[in-house]
Amino acid sequence: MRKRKIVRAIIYLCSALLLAGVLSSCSSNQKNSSSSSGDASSSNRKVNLRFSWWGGDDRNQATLDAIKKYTDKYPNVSISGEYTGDMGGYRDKLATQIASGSAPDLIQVDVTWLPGYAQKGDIFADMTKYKDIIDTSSFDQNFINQFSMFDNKLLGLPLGINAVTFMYNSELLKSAGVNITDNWDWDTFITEGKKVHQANSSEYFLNINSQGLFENVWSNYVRQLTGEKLVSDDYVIGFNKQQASQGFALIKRFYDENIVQPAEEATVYDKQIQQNPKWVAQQFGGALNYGSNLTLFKSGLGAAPATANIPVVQGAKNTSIIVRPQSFIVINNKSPEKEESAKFINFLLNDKNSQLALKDTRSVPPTQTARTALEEAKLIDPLSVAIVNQALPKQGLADNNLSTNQQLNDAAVSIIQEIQFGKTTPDQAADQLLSQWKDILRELKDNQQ
Amino acid sequence: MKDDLRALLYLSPWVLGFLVFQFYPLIASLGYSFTNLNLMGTTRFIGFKNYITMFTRDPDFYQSLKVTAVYVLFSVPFKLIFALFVAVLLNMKIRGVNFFRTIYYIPSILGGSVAVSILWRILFAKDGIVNRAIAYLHIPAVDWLGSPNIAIYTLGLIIVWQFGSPMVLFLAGLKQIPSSFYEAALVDGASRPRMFFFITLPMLTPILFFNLIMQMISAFQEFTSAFVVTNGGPMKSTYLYGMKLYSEGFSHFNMGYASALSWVLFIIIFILTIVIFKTSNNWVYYEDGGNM
Repeated sequence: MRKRKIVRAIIYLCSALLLAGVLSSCSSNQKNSSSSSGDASSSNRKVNLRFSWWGGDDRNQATLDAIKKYTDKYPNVSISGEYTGDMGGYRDKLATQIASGSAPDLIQVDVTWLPGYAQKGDIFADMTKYKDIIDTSSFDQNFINQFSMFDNKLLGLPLGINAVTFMYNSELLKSAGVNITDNWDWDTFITEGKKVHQANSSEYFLNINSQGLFENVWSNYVRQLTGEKLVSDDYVIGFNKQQASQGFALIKRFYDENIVQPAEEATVYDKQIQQNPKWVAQQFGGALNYGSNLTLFKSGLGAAPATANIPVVQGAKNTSIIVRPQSFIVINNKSPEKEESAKFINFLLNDKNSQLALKDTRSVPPTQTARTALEEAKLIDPLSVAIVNQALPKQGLADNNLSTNQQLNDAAVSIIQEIQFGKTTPDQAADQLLSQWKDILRELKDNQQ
Repeated sequence: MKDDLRALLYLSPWVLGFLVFQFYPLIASLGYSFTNLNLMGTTRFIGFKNYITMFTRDPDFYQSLKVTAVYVLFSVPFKLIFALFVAVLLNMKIRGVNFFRTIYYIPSILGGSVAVSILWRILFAKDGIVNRAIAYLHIPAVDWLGSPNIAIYTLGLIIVWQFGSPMVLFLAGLKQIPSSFYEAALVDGASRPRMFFFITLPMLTPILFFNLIMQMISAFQEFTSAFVVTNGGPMKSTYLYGMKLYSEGFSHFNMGYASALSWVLFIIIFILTIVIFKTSNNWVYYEDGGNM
């Protein structure tokens, strides 16, 4: 009897507390939505925005500077920056935030994530609704149409233009007798590259991790052979066993011919290759990476850094040189302050003060006005502009969302690790990859239906 | 009755917290494990498909089980022996022993943090401090974290460093052993090692039992060191079960599958705990016969 009373008391108490919690959250929502109408940046209404991004220290500081310029101009607006250093961690956190409805008002998203989110419905706001607020006239319209428009909705604006490049330490390569041309193929890449280790046994030509070997070597090589996307939009794999195997054989040659540091030594820095002590000590010839990472990698490139396009297979069907937005800024559709967010985006991308603050920390700026402003102020690294200018005329096929799926990526990367450690042959690796990818694609297709 | 109500009122924050943040997620995850819940797609009930996939079509599942088994078998005994060793040292009557007791506990407070994991990475890199130190002894450099055969043991060493909490329990256990036992043994001319193995160790078995269970559970759930120090590599040789769970859930967003994985882990830990409990009758000695 007594026991039952206690149980009943617990139930009453819990439900009362739960109810109280529900009620309080309802009322706070109401407050938000009622106050969102009305113009804040010209009035004194207090506006709080959250803005999240990832990247290196430079980018973080530059973004904070640009935010400060805005909040100095509009003291009633406060913007809290949510910064994550590591892109992978940022991606995981963002997905969870979006699923739980707690994502920030303004979000930096990667170019490969946007199509996936676009497919899921109206997670991000359509910016064409704010065309009176956001001036897009100084963007390259083709570029926007190609990457940012989904079902006639403008879901994001590019924060920078990015291209994969070979960034190198020209002094080191020169002294090792390496000859770099802009029209090279992967064979030349290896025959020239191995001179570095031959000249000095503690130095290597290329600093790369398993992810880079997949994304910037294997994928590019295979796409150059096939002229197709790795996976078509109908979930069909765009290469055959022989082509996959050739790609793995190329990676194997990197290790056999000492183009790269042995896997046992380099794997410890797999997550952040720019932290490899050999990179810091400028004992690497260069790195295959996105131009947007130039600032991150520059310390290892010596006094005379230079860049070249990635190698292209002779007779390639597609150069596979990818020019794409570095990332997008999007507005969370659940934000109670969409209009205010749009105003901030307009400032961030079009205001000269903001452009000068952001510099080239997200690769080459997306607008002509920003590029001119930075060039005049000598604030842009000429090398960043060179990367984009080098790549643009030879631009290749861009990959679709499915080809950059994380599960496919992870499967390929762990197979590549086996090549790195010499535990499998290119042929076995190709079989493994095809069977795993087929499994994953079947699963993905099932889940979409 | 009034007192009961008041007690409940005081308990309610915990009860509520437990129901909302522990009990509900626990039950929900069981439900999710039978769906294809995915943050990017539509959710459907799929019955036992996740469990079937796990056991029939997922080589990473077996790899992570294998790695975790090696990790638990290596790190738990090693950690307990080390904790006991330090506890015996700190039980001696030496000057400033309280100072040392504090110092030796500090690693356990720092242990799980990311910064310390990065420190381990620097220490055990090929050209790291450990290899430089052993170079003085003319031992060739070891790929502590770079070799697929060694990395998991290196991770095991890292966890041994956090011996603080079992050590404190051992220390408390040591204090409980009546000194009359040792005095009697001394009179009979017993040697120190003999006293340790025939008095100290049997008297400590209840603590050892408790530590074994707790450390086993936490070793099965280990995640941070594998994620930060090795990222599961090289070649998935440190791909602990926690890493597998994380990458399914938070990299591939297969939350349904990740829930199923966590329930399998729960069942494994549950069975092993029962096994240890069953065997405990044979090796755990309670002075009062275990009738508490």
